[in-house]
Amino acid sequence: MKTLVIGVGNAGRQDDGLGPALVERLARVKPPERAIIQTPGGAVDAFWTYQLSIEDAAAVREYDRVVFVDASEDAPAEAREESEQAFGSPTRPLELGGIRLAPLAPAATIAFTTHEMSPASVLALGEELYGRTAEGYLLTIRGLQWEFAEGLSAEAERNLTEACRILAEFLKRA
Amino acid sequence: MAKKIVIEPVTRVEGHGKVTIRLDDKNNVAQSRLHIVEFRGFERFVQGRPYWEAPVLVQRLCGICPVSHHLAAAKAMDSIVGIDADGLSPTAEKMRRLMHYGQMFQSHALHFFHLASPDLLFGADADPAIRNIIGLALTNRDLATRAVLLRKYGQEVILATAGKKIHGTGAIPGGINKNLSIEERDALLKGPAPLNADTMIQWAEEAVEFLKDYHSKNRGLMDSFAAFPSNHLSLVRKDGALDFYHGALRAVDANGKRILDDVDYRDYLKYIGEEVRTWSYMKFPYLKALGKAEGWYRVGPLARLNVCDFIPTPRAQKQFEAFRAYTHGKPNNMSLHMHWARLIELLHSGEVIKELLLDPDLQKTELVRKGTKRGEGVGLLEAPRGTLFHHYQVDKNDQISMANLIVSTTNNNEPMNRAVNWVAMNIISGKKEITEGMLNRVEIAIRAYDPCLSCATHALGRMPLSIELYDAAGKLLDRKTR
Repeated sequence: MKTLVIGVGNAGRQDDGLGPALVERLARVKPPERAIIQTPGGAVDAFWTYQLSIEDAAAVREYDRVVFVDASEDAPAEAREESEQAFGSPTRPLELGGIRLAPLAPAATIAFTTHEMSPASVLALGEELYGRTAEGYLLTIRGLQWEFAEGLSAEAERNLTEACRILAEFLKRA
Repeated sequence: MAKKIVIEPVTRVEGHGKVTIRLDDKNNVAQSRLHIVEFRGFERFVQGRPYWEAPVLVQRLCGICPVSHHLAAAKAMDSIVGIDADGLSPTAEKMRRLMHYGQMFQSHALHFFHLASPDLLFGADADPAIRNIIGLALTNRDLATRAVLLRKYGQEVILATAGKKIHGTGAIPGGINKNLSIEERDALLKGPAPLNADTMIQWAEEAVEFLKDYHSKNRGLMDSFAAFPSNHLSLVRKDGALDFYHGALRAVDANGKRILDDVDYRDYLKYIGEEVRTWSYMKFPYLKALGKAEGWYRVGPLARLNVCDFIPTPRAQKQFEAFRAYTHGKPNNMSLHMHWARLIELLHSGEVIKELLLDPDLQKTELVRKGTKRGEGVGLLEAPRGTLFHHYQVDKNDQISMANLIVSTTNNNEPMNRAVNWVAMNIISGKKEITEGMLNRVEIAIRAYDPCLSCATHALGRMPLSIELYDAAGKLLDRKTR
C-alpha cells in the first residue's frame, strides 16, 4: 500500500511543531519537504508543511493511504482504548493519552476566511477533482503551549515519542 | 433590547479575528468593529538572534506568504551588510524577483479560486458548506483544477529559487545563495502542459476575462458592495511602473491627488504613523500628512493599480487600461474590484516570471556582495496583500536589538473596518432578523482584502466560526458555530 505521511505545523510556535517533529524523528533527518520513513513494509514518503492547501489534493491522489499528523489542543489526555484491531481499523479510532489515530473521511470543512484546508477537505477536494482519494487517517498529538518560541513542551515531547511508536506500528502492520 | 452580534472566526491561528456588531433597540446598527489579534510577539522572538537568521526566522509568521517576509527581511539585512537595494548583483536581484513573483502568482491564484470565486459563483446567500473550493469542484471542475495547478506552478517557482517551498533559504544578506540551473529554467519555462509559463499566462488571462464577464453581469453588486472612498498606498518603480519587489512609496487620495511621491521607504517613519485603539490588538497605520482621522489608506492589489502609472508587461497593461478606463482614470474605490485588480496582477506575475526565465543573468554566478556594515536596515516590498514593512536594528554583537514589522493586513485594518461597517449599515441595519446571508456578506467584505489570518499556529481543535449575540447588559443571548 503506497503511503504518504504529512506533518502539519509551525516549529516556531512551540507545540504547533509536533507534526513536523514527527516527520523529522521518523525520517531521521531535519525537517525537509520530502523525506522517506523506512518501515519493515517498505519506504513511506513523508513531508511537512505549515498548513495544508489546495495543491495537497494533487499530492495525495498519488497514494493509497495518507496519514495527516497535526498538533491538537483537544486530543484526549486520557487513554480510552488500545487494541490490536484499532491499529489500521478503517472505523475505530485508537486513543491513547495525548494521542489519537483515527480514520478520516473526505469532508468539506472550510473555515472562515482562511487559506488553509483541513485534512478532510484535502481528501474531499482530491476526490472531486481526480475521481479518487486516498484512504485517510488523522494522527493528532496533544500540545499545550503555542507561543512564539522554538522547542516542544515536556508533555508534548512525551506525546511525540508515543506518537512515533504508534505510527511506526501502524505503518508496519499495513 | 440592544444586542451585540459577535462573529468570531477562530481560524486555528493566533492571528484570528472577530466581528462585533452592536444593534440598538430598533435593530439599527449602533457600531461595528473588526478585531484581529496581531502577532506582536514575533518582534520579541527575533530580538537577540543573529541578523543573518532573520530572513529564515520571519517565514514562521505565515504559511501563505513566507516568501514576502523572507525577502522583506533580506532587503533590510542587505542594508545591514552595507548593500543598497540597487547594489545587488543582477543575478541576485533577478533571482529574488523570480521568487517574489512566483509567490504573488500562487497567492493570488489561491485567494481568488479558493476564497473569492465561490462567493461570486454561488452568491452570498449560499450555504457555507457549498460556498467553498469543494463546492466549486463539484460544479466547475475545470476552474477548481486550474486553481490547484496555478497555485502549484507558483510553488514550483519558489522551490526553484528559494531551495524549498517552505522555509526557503534563497535570499541571504547581500544576495542569494543559488542561481537558476538550465534544468530548473526549462522545467518552468517549457515543462509539459499545463505546468509551463505560456499555459499559466493563458490561464491567468482567462481568469481576468472570467472576472470581467462576471462583472458585466453583476455590476450592481460589484460596483456598490462595500464601496467607499479612501487613500491608497504602494511602492512604485521610479518611472511609475507597477513593481512588487522594489520602489519608492507613493500615496494618492480618493480622487488621485498625490499625497506622497517618490519617498525613500527607509524614511517611512517620517510619513507613516501607527495609532493604537483600546479595543483592538492591531494598530491603525495612517499618513502623518493627513493625520489619524483622514490619513488611513488601503494597500494591496486595488491600491497598487490606483497608485501606479502603468504595468510593464503587455497583456497585463492592456487589462490595466480597461480597469482604469472603467473609473475614467480616477482611483477605483470599490472593494470587490480588488478581485479584478488581483487577477490583473496574477497575469502580470505570470508575464514577469516568463521574462525572468528567459534572462541569462539567472545562470550567472555572482551571487553575493558585501559592503560596510551598518546598524540599521529597512526593507519594504509589495506582498500579495499589500505593502510590507520590515525594520531592524543590530547591535555590535551582530544581534537584532529592535524589530518593527507593519504587515499588509495591519495596513488594511481601517479599510476592513470600513468594509464591515458598510455591510452593517447597508444590509444589517434596520432588519428585524439577522440571517446567515447577512453574516456571509460580512465575510465577503473582509475577504476582498484577503487578510492574512493564517499567520501562525493552527493546531486542530478550535471552531472556525462562532456567532454570539449579547444584550445591552452583556448577557449572551445566542451562540452559533459553523
